[in-house]
Amino acid sequence: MYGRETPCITNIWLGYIAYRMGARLLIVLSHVSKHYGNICALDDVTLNITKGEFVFLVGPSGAGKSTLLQLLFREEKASEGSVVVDNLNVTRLPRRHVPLLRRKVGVVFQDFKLLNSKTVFENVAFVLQVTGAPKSFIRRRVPQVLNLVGLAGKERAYPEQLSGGEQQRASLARAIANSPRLILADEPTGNLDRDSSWSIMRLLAEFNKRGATVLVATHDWPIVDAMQRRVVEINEGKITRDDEQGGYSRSVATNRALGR
Amino acid sequence: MLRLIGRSVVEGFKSIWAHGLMSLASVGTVAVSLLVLAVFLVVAANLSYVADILEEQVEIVAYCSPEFDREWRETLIEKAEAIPGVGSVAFVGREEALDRLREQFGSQADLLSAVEDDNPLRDHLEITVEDPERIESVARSVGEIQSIDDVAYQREVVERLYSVTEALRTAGVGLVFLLAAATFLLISNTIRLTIFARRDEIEVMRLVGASSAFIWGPLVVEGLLLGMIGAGIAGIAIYWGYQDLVGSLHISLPFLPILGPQPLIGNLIQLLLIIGAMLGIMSSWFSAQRYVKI
Ligand SMILES: Nc1ncnc2c1ncn2[C@@H]1O[C@H](COP(=O)(O)OP(=O)(O)OP(=O)(O)O)[C@@H](O)[C@H]1O
Ligand SMILES: [Mg+2]
Repeated sequence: MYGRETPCITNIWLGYIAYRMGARLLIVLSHVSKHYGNICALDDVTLNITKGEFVFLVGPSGAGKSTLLQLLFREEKASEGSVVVDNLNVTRLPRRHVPLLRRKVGVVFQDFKLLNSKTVFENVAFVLQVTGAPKSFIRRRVPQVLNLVGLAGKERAYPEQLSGGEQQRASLARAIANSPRLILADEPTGNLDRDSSWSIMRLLAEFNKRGATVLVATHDWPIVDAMQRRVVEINEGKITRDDEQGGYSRSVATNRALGR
Repeated sequence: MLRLIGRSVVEGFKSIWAHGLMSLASVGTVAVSLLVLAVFLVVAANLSYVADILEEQVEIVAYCSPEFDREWRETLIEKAEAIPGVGSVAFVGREEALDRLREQFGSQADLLSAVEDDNPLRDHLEITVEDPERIESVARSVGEIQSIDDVAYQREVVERLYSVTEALRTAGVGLVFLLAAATFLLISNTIRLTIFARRDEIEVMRLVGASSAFIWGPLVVEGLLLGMIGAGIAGIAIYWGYQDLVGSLHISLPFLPILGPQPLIGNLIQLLLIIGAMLGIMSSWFSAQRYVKI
């Protein structure tokens, strides 16, 4: 596929630059669209996210935030355009390689998705077992991550015995257990009270400080406003704003609706 | 790899246990389907066994007419021996024929009491043929001898038996395909139930990047186990049933040629297990393929 191009020096140079840039970029979406039947969930989205960034994804309900996240771990496939995550061409990834992509990505959901028949320890250990980690490593690693999210001592509890905030922390522990380079969170604080929400966001910021790239889709405007991170806003499937450091919304209408 | 297999087997067993009734239904259909197949195969095997025995007998029986006078016995034998291709010729009187029959019936000989007073059997010649291929022309020549009424030889019977065997096999295979389809549906439905019961776990496995082998392994093992357990039950049933049948036939109808249980049943059980395993794997694979997206 490269053989057909003329091997001229400019091409090689451009290729090198692209390679260097690519090495810094973790997520590259170019002209991505996603259609469900005749619903257009994402419309010609182009977005780069550099390694080590912390990005909020905001926008009204139905804007396409969840859809965008789903494209990144191949829960859904883009209808048009290309999606690259950590140098993997997600749109063209053969099905048998999809697990490789998912092992690079830790995902957190509003509803936690913990297994109720397993203890907290087992829930976290499950990720490592699934990816074939040795038992000795699992025994060492699980307490380590539970400690990190502040759940030391809750190893033997079942999810139903935990508060919402604790459950979300357990699911965070599970998401980071195999040290993913990218953490995707879809409304991680949607079901939580103020304090728990803050503790989850602080943990995400903490993982980010330790090197993970974090992308959070959220409606939690007070936190977005307070944290002053990069904010990408989507409206009706299009990116309408991308601030290096910003708040939840600049739109007067939204602010008024929020009572500010 | 070993761990993957170990885990799959453990999970497979657990899941069979968890869906008691549905598993029972699947195992039951597998067992019934395979049992039907086994019965057909056993009957077919025995018919072709009988046909083989008969085919080896290159004997022509020539019945003398009722008015035949035994004084001409030697002449009759000589005439028969003169026919080219004839091996040996023996004259059997009607009394001797009845005695033989009585001997074959053994303990059931009293069944013959009804015919004893008025022996319906006839004097006949038993003629062996040197070359089985030529039996037809020899039989025709024998039939032309004076005072020979009727000629019977085994080939006709053999051919009829072979065609019955063939028909039975075809019918058996057809029926089995039908039953296999039913089995397939039931097993794949059981597996679908498992997938549904474990949808949360499967969802998490997918999300954290479990390979498809890891997700499908337990499902396929469950199907395999259902198929093999069903086949095992069918195997045990046919083993006991056939042994019983052979035992009682030896007593009640001792003259009937029937294949001994071994190696027939041993081979049959192997075949059933292989078919059961394949059905189980195929139907669970189908369900996994269809209901678990990666
Ligand atoms: N599986 C699907 N089939 C059909 N339409 C879908 C599907 N998933 C999403 N959509 C549609 O795509 C659009 C974007 O949905 P998406 O879930 O990405 O919105 P969102 O920004 O996450 O909204 P919210 O803030 O409410 O979670 C919506 O119009 C939705 O109805
Ligand atoms: Mg959403």
